[in-house]
Amino acid sequence: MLFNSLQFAIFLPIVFLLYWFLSPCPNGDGAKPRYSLFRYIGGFVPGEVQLKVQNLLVVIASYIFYGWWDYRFLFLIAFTSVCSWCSGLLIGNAHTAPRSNRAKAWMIVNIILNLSILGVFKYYDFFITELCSLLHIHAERHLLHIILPVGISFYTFQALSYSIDVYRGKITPTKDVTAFFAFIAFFPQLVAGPIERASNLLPQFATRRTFSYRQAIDGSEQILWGLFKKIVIADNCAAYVDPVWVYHETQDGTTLIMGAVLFTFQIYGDFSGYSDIAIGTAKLFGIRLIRNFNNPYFSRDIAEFWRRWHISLTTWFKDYVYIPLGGSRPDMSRTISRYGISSAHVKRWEKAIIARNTLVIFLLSGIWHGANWTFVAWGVYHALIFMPLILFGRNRRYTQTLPTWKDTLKILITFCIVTIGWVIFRADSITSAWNYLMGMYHFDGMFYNDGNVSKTLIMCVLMVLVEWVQRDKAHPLDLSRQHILTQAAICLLLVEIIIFFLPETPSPFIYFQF
Amino acid sequence: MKKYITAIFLFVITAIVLNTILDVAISCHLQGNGDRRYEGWNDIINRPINADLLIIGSSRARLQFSPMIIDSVTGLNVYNMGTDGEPLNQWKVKYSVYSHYQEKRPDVLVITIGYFGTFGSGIGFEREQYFPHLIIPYVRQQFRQIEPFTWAELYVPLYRYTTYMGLYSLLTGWRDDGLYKGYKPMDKKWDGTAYNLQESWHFWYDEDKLQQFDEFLSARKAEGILLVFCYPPIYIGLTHKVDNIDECYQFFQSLADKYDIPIMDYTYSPLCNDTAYFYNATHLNKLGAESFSLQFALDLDNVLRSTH
Repeated sequence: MLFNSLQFAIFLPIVFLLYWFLSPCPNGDGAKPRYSLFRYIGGFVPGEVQLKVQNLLVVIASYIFYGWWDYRFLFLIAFTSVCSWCSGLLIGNAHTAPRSNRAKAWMIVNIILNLSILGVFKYYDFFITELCSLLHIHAERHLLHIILPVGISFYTFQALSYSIDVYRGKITPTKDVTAFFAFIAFFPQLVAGPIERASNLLPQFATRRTFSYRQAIDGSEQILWGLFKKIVIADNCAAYVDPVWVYHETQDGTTLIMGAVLFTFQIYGDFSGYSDIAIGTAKLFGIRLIRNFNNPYFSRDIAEFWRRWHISLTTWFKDYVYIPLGGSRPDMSRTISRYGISSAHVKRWEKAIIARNTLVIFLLSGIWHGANWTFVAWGVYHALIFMPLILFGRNRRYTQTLPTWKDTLKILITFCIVTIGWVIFRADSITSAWNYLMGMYHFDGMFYNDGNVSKTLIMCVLMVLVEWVQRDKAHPLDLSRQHILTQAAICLLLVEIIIFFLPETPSPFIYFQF
Repeated sequence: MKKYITAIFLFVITAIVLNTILDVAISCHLQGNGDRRYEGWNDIINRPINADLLIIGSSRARLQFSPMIIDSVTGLNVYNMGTDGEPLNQWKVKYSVYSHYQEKRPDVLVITIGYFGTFGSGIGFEREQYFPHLIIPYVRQQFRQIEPFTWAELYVPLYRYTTYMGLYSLLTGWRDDGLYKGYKPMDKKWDGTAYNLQESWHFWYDEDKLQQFDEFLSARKAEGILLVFCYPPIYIGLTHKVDNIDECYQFFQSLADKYDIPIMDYTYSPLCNDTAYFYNATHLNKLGAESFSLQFALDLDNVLRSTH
């Protein structure tokens, strides 16, 4: 079920009303919502059961939402959930001492199990094809040709983070299987994130949620902004970008540059639009998800970009890969004793380890996106740009301040660097990416104008302006300080813009394929 | 909760009201912009046509029968009601709307027939030609009876516009002016389209479409309208590619026999041998259309004389 579909427009209000109708009512003098079923029968049903009923609704709704696409893969989510839930309990039981060996073994079993599923469904065919081509063997009969289950990378990582956090003692394992299933499958973020941490989401399913008018309005506004980015920006950019990519070898440089710039907006509108809809929808259910994008195209260097782009994935890799590898402050004592390094060379070794760690997380980040060398190249490209900043300790220059007009040049340079990266990301093959990049410097043809490019650019500029003005807010349509009528008028205007620029065929969310 | 639901409800109502107003404004704007896609409907709904002779069919009617030439030869007031796209559903709806809005019923109805596209279903081609007039309840009601438009397209304000190329494209996209009594010739040279498309063509029909067509003919006959079937010219090379042309002839002959309908056949007219008269294999260009219209008008005059 797509967020920008009629089915979802019907599904969401039904689930929303049922969810709050099953809102738990505590016994005693606590405030009891008038609309809740348990207000009347709550005396007969214990409080924790009421909460389980509400969580069960979340699980059922989420499974319907996912099963709408392909019900067969529901078993996969259920299997991942059961394995991770059990591993959490086993790790918890084995925790006689912090990070005990038995606990570690259970965690590793869960990691292997989850990564094996991911590997088979996402990477098996790719690696077999590459291996066969290396060995000059015909690959076809070894391939599985399995459809990639939507969102598998997202919920697998979420499940992994749970067992690792339990092992690390950051969270206690939950015995509530319903809450855990809801945590893995919560439909707003199930198929394209944000990748939630158990420490943030799981406790919210374990406690009673109360309806907040302000939060619901804020969520609705964020959904609207997400729809604007998806429908008006991403889908309209796609209408230009797709044909440019199909015929890129015969296009003029100006067209290719325009295609690259519009793809930069497309992928942002598509993915951050999805995240906004997900976060906004979760707010309607009284759930707070983590922020996934923080105006990434206003970044002043690539390090800042990676703090603002797909935050949930970046921090995942940071917490579970980069820091365990030593991060940017590796523990050199073991390395010194193992290799007998003299103190004069310690600094150099430290930098080498930092460079390796950086390369590893960018490579993993690239591979996470899909089984294609272009994603690997994209990861390496970003690693190479990022490395000088981290090696010279200049990667945290812009952690506190908001970008201003004075930073325009730095922002533009970063935008160009990111745009080149997206060309590699968007290409079907390394050759195709190379040809596209080379074609961008040949200005000897006609500029391809599909008749809509100017209006698409105007809409992109509008989005940039709104995001710039609202860059200190949680999301660009955060209108909480405005009068309710002003909010309604702005939202109404946005609805009309969405209708006016609705493309003929909506395109699926790009990140579904990951 | 109540406050939130009230706020959302009021917002949705306001949006519906605003969209209804915009729908009417945009539809009126498109109706009045002179584009031939909407002008035909404007003629039928808003202007007294007083046609003695009505030509109905697909684009092979719209682009090939010049009312000006046929008027001057036959002395009848001719209107060309041909519509681009797949015809049968449209004939019926368009004729219903015509009958509803026009006081004068035509005396003669020329129906273009042939092996090409007569019994296609759906409204897949230039869907937007119907959009502006769907704000009129009677038109909407007529389209409700046939499949192609969904409930949402007919009743949700502005929604139908978003199902085409997008509202923006529709308002700012191409325009094609200059419709005269429903006729707009194509002043282009032969480009071979349709001819090179496939190696062979097959005439087909299904029983449901046959029944609909039969009912249509029966109803017009009952109204006392003189019906005429016409096979307009088609490039001879394409005719040679049809593997069951006899079946096509038999099909229409049986209907003609049943309702006593004269058939005027130009499938093998000398025009069909020369690509100078066509812009593609299924449509005459302006030169061809006007040559054909003259020939047709003279022949029709004879048919009318013999039937009266």
